[in-house]
Amino acid sequence: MNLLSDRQRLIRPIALFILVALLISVPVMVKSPYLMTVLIASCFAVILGMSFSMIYSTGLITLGTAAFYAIGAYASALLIMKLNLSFWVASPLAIIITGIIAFAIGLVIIRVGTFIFVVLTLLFNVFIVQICGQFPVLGGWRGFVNIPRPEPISIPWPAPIEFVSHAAYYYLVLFALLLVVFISHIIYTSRIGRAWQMIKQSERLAESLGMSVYRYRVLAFVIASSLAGLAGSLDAHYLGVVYPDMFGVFTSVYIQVYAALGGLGFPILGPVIGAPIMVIGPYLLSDIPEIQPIIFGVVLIAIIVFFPSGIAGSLQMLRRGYFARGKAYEKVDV
Amino acid sequence: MDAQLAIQLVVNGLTMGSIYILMVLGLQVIIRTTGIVNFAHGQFYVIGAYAFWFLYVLIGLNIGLAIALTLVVMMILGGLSYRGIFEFIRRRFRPDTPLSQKFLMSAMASVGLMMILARIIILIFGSETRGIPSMFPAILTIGDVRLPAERLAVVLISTSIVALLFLFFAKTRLGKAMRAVMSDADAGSLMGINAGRIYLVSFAFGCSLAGIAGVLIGSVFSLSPDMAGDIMSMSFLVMVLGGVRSYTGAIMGGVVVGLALSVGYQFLGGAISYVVVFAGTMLFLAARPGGILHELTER
Repeated sequence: MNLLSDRQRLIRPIALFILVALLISVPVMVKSPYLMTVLIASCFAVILGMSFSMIYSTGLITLGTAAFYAIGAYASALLIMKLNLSFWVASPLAIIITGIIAFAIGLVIIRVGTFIFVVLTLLFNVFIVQICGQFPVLGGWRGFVNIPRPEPISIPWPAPIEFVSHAAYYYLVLFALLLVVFISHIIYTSRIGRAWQMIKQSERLAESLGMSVYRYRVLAFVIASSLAGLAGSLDAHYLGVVYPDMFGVFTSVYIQVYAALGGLGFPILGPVIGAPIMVIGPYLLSDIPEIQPIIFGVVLIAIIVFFPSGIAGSLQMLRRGYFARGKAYEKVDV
Repeated sequence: MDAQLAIQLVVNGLTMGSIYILMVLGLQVIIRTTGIVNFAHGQFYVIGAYAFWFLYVLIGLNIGLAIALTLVVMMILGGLSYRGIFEFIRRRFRPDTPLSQKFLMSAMASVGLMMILARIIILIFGSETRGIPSMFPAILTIGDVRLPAERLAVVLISTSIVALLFLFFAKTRLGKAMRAVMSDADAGSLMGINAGRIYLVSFAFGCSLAGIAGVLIGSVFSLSPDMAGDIMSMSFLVMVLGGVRSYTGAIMGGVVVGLALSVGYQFLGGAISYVVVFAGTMLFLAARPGGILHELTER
């Protein structure tokens, strides 16, 4: 962070302030309830994309983000509907449960190497969908309906906040998103984040300097999966339904596209740019939901083949003039 | 458990196992020569099955001609997708790029291809299930054991394909060239092997193996577009269980998983046997990350 020039140090907080102010004023400007739904969905998508990016920032690729998204959603829904807990207790508990499951799974599947990790996360995702669908305790293939919205917070002024309207829920999700961005920023700029960065660049070098690559990766896996759990918990209470097909492998692939489109080298900025494009884009093209997977597939291939560093990375390269020197491809580390 | 049930379970297990083995061998040929992990392999399997259904049932071609045409279609599709997508990825590989890094680079592109093909299959063929009339409708009766001939035929055909594959790698010029490129592409090029063409050929070859698996499954089960996901997850499971770089390991893994699922399906039910196989594979890999034959030493 102390590499920033004076100008950047001045511009960044201002840009951030304007962005946050814009995000807060969205419900005032947007009246269409459908568009609000899409905006809330893109907030979830950003959190999920950041979960993928966090695991990627240690050099691992996961195809199982949707599994932890599902665990968060199901844990939260079950705790509320079966144990009658309040949302404000159940949601943190769901995040903790997701984290514990991620820890147990991560201990095993991170040991086996980066290559098999991808396959095992994919299998885990299929496995979770099967478990949720096959066991009637977990709602079966129809899942749960009528999951209640969060209880109102009783603050004396101006009125108790009820999470019935889209705007109120938008603020809740936005608050969660900003919290996640803030916490991730702290992590990425701390010792842990620098260790992750080093592990991504060279596993062997990190190990030879005495870092435990395995432990750092498990840590990233647990934190990232808890983020997905948070998104799942909020999403379950927003939509009011959960069912296994929401969390299939395709969802994990969508999440991967959210992160990859924005730029895999930018763990926070990447999903923040990429996820809204991929969520709001299909909304604008809403006549053709049939070919939506084709759009996602083409975008994914185009990113990987032509812009491996994503939107943010390409812009950065453009600014630094790498294209002019014809070195674009050599600087890419996907 | 009486003998009849046992034999039926073994035959059912071997039927699915041999399908998995064909899928995994196709995946492995591609991985070992080009370093590309093809997540769209399951879609190639479905395309193979549907192409055969289209040619054999809908157009009514002779069975041999239908199979041959299906293979040609699979090779063309495989070649096109290699030239169109994966060649760009492979060009970024360096000789010292570790397998895991190649995996990361190719996984996303092939996942993109997987989504495109999955939707195209539904758009062209619709999402309802289709049946292919059995090629061997007879039921064999040995003593008091009754076995459907088509399942035995699937096992026999895939066994002979695997044997031919081993002969192909050991004896023919093309097979030897492919093995040379697998072990060291640069050294192979120095010996006058056109490595670029070998990559193309082995990609098409792997896809046609998936196509054969699709043709074979069509005579046993009905076809639906969403069978790609199941076969994909199971063949990846078999591949990591057997060892990514070992054909023998893949065969052992396929037999073990096929038998386990067939026995589990009978006594525990589909979902639970799936869970048991998955958990067992994870625990096995935790203890032995290289798979059964431990040939993947690289991390």
